[in-house]
Amino acid sequence: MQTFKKFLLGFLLTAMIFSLMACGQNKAVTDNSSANNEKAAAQTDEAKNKDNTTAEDTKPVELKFAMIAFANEIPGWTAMIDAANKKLEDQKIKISIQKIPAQNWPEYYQKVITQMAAGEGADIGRIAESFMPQVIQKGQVVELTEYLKDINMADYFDATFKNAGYQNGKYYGVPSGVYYMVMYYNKDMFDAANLPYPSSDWNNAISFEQVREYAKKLTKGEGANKTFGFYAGPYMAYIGMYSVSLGGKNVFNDDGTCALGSPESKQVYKWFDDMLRVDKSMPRPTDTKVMSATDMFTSGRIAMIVDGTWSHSAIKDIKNFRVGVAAVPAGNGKAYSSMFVDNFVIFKGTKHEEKAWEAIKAIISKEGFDALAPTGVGGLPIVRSTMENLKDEMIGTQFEESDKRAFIDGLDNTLAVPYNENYQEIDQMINAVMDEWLMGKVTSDEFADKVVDFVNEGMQAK
Amino acid sequence: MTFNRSKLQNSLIHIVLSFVAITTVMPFYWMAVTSLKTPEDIFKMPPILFPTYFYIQNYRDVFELMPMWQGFLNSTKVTVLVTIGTLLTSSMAAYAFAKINFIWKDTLFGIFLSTLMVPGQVTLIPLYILFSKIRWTDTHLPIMVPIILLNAYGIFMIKQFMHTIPDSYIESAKIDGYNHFGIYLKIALPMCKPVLVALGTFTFIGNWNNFLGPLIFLSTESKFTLPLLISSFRDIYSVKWGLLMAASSVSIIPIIILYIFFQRFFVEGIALTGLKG
Repeated sequence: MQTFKKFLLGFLLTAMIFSLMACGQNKAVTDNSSANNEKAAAQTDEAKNKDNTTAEDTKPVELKFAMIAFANEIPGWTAMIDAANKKLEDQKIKISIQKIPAQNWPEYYQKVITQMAAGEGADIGRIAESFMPQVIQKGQVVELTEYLKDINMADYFDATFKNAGYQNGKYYGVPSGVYYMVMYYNKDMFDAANLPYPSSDWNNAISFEQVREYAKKLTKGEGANKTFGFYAGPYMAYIGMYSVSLGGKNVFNDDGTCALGSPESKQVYKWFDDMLRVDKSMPRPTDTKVMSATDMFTSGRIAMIVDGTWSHSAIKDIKNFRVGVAAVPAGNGKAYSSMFVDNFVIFKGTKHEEKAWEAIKAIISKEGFDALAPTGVGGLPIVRSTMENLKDEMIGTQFEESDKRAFIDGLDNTLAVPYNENYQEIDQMINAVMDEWLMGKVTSDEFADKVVDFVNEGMQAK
Repeated sequence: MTFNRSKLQNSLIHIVLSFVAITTVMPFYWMAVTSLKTPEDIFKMPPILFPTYFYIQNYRDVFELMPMWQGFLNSTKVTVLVTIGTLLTSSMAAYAFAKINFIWKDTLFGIFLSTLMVPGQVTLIPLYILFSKIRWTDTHLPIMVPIILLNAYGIFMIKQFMHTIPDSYIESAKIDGYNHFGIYLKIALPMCKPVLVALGTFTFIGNWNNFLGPLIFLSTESKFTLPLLISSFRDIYSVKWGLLMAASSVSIIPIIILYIFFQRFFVEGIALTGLKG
């Protein structure tokens, strides 16, 4: 009986803890719920997407900004939002950050759409470019074409606006920064091999043949200590990028069919194949499984790497050797660089659409990018004056002038990745079978043909 | 000769076991050592197995960049309550299924078990909408209450163990005047100690490492659990290995402590269920 009483007491205590926790959260929950109810009411209203400016709207409207929360990026985005909030003070708008600690964009997207389905979604947010066709097709973001007439495009690198957030002549997102491809190289390894540095001129870039020749000379050693001459990812977008430099098409032909089986693309695949299997001057998947190619470069085990500017902060920190920046290898002199542009969007369902646009305008203002750019987060700024003023700080003072020039000039030679609703799925399917080719089970031509089948079938599935 | 063979056998067994022990401990050692290295030293070749100095900045950064103590408290609260609650409800339900005859018992148990076959991701959006309606989103309740109230795996595990308790014990207790609750408390629970500890350990580890549930249901940073905070140390393009390893080292401390205290039961649990966490 005594034990029974003790048990009962324990059970009641546990129940009490739960009740207290629930009560403790009641206030916040009640606050949230009233906001949610308002939101729900607003959504059913005919004018749900327009502001209802009433007398009681004198206090600032709080807009929720959804952000994928990587620890190293949080200070950058926070600085940008702080700068925007300062600009918005007079307009009685306040942006609050909702950190979503996802490990990747699919997890982030899942959280965003789950909240949206329950009517608790953020008002504005940042979305990866590869997800833009999907959110546009599903009608999850607001069209911004009319709103964009409100800003002076001359202040911006306007080409960056024509990314995957631009579909059928309409804008659905504005760039939150731009990443693109450049070639980094280890100057100490070039000096030791007595080789000239690759060209920093994007109109006269290093050729595929030269890269292969240099890579062979720069490859040394065996096993865990082997240093490789060159690395570049042979992914769909990059094959497209190199093919264009040979006069080919960027992944798709004009009629929407796959262009990766063209003679230009096959030449690019063959170039990779020669370095992987004949010269063995490029690491294979087994080499990059343990340590990524970027990590191999930063630890001095790769001499040249075509990498995105997202790796620049890690590469800028290299102290063990001197780093140079060159134009991406090209077929016929003129080089192209695939660009990746994540977007700021207004989510459908916000009851403050116009204020959300004002918020986005403040975020992408010069003040916003001036605050973000020095942190190295989110890519290079899309505001021209910010780029000019902060180029030394962003690129790094240790780089020589020619390297800085090569870095910035890349921005004038960008090529949009031709994302569509099926692109990501097709890309993942191709990557899943790529090892067959990289490990030598099929030839580069056979693999190119397989890629064409995958892409064409994937596009028909649309 | 027999002595020599036995000695040889023992030596061989020791060599094999030492090898297995080293390969098991090595990842943990590597994690701890990496957390104490500078970013440059992490990828040095040949790798530095025994650092000559400890770079504790990674630990400082982890606690500066993220509210780790708050995350620690949140994870502890959620995990402890879920573990206690699960043991309580699962053992009660298991007792009922194993030792009480009632109408549609097998059908009900089948329904319970069938919930194991529904992938968690499928129910995320409906659950979120449901919890949103009862105002539970952005609280710890959605990541605790459903798990406490229905843990089909736990019920199944304890029920199977309770079947091994002879019915004669139950009958004897009834003759002594115990009702079902008394039998559950006095007879069944004490005899189920190994399976309860095993289930408790699995539940603790599973909830300590739970990522998806907290990601979907929590929005305010001060409510985040440790896995959410740790995931922030990697991004799309790179991983801050030093920080990630420092945060991971901190997060596994409770698991190690738990293991040290319940090692015997943990091994029994593995032998009993053929599973490990």
